[in-house]
Amino acid sequence: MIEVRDLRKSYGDAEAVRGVTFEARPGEIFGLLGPNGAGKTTTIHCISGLLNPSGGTIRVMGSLAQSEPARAQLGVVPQEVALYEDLTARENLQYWGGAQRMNGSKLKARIDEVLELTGLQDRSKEPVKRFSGGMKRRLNFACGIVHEPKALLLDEPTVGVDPQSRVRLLELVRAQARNGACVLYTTHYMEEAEQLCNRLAVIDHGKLIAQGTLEQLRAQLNELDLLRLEGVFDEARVRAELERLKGIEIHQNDGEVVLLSMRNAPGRLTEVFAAMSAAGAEIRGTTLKQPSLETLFVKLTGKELRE
Amino acid sequence: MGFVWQTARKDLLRLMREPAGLLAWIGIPVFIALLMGVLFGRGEVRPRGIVLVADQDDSMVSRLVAGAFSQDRMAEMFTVEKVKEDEGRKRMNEGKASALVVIPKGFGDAVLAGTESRLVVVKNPAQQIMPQMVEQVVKLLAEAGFYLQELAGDELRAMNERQPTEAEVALMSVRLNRMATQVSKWMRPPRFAVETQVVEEKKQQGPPVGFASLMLPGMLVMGLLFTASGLSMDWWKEKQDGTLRRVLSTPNGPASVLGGKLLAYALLASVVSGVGLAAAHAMVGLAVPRVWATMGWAVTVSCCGYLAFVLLQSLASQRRVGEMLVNMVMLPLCMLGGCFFPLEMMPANLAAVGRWTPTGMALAVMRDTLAPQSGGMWWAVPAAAVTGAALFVLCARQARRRFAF
Repeated sequence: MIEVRDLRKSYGDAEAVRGVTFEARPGEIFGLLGPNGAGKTTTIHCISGLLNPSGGTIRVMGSLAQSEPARAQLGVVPQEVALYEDLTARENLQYWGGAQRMNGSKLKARIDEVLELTGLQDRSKEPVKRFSGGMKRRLNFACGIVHEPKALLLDEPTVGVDPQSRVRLLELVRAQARNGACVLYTTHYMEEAEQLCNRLAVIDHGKLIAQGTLEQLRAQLNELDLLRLEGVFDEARVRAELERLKGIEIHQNDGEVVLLSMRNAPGRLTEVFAAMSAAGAEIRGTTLKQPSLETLFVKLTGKELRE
Repeated sequence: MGFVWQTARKDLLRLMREPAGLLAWIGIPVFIALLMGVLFGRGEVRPRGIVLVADQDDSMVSRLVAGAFSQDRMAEMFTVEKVKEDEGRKRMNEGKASALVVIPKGFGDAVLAGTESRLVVVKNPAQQIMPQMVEQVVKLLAEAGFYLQELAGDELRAMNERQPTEAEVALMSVRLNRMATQVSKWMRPPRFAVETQVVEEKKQQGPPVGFASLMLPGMLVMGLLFTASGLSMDWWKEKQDGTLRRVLSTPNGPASVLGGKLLAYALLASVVSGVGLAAAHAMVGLAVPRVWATMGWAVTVSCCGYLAFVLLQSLASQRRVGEMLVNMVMLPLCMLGGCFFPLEMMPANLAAVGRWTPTGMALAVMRDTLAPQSGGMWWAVPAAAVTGAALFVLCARQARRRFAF
């Protein structure tokens, strides 16, 4: 189990993490969702013992995060592809397994196992620099699980990965949870979080703004749809026209993007377009999204997640 | 220890897969040495040394001895400083001069009277060439003094007793010239033979006095320092790739990582210094009487260099600044410390500064181990070990703070 209680991390006057509390249990995938700079990676670094928290406590499988027992039970898959590109896949796994005090035949057998698991057994003797981005990501993941950790930290492990590799990686993550590992998964991909996580926490500006199962979070949405309009807008006129419409909430209105939430958006499109036309807007694109985590995020933070 | 060895193995494997960097680090010093050899070598060396003369006699004859080092080509090789004997011995003990010549009181009278006298030459064991040259010059002077006393003793005695008139000087010059002409057929061959003998003696006693043998220790130290500088850059690569952060989230601390990287460097430095010394022995006949001691010292001192460079890198805000910082320290140290030009070839004031630089001191010890008889610079080993240990602690502390993020 990973227990985070009132975690705080400051850099001088700037607070990167402000009183974050959650727990990820064995066998579940706990998602930490937030835009870039929200404090996800800082939280991960504090859990992995790389950063000393300014306040609060973190326990990994019952041991304090900075301690050796905690680190020995922790597997980390960082956001970057943290591999030695001149070494082969097998040599990388040997090194990272060795760093977790594995050796001999046990390590060799486990390396064969994770190579097969990640589909890299045929390329195990090739230098990593010859690998595709997706293969490197898979090896990056393999290096994090080579020692069979009881707690696994995955910091946006699918960034820049092709769809095929992404599906495979997500399946690998699920397999870890099925085997009893406690998985903490950070991402800013809503779909990924929706597909993968048993429970989620939404973080923004270093604070947790919502937490619960996917169902619990969706319940907060009250079936709101998200309507995104792109084009050239007069902000003041658009706001004035839209505010006349009932049950529509404006989340973003910056001259190029207008982001609205409302119930039954498909049925109100004519009404919205008429208001926009009255505001002299030139609409170049329209996206309608059904209730999702993204809608929730916009509702909670007032902005889109991929910012 | 397992992880330290694994880290060392990993770094050596990476180095072997990308050998271009390593070849450049070693190739640059070799290229510089070859360039210097072409520009300045030409098979003849004119090193520069300091000769201290304690003239307790202060006679015409003693002044002739002291003046011998200020004449013609000698003046290009030696700077002569007159000192009291105590001061001279103190400076010799500190290794600040090539040799001390003590001319005892009554030396001039003894020479003119043809009685026995003795000149004392104190040699600096840390230098191989210049002290031998001083010794040979003094021996030559002793021989010349003997001949002069035999041929013109009366005239010299007369000149020593009182101030000669111009007519007497002219008369004596004529007599000396006639004598010189008469004995020249016997004098010149021995004088020439003596000079030749000096060269032969040098060849028998130690390494050849060629540009290459003067440059080689410096070249080796420079090659090792360039390699250390190159490997210290790897900390930035590990930082940028995120591998250092990843390894620090395992149960291993920064000291283990540093230990592994230092071990990799030490193994590499052993190979480089071993191959360098073997090549120098095979190609230019460099005598290496204490191979293991020389290699051990080269590795020890270059490990200190590696740690110092890592520490410098950790003070930089980014890779480029780190590289610049290391080069700003390393290149002047190599130049001043005698790696580019041997200290013996430098102007005296620069050489005096260079001797106190870390590279200058490291080179002095290396030359000491290469000398036929070691001068006992044993203190350098514990000094380097203590320095290395202090640097290790500082680097390990800095590694997490500066390279993890």
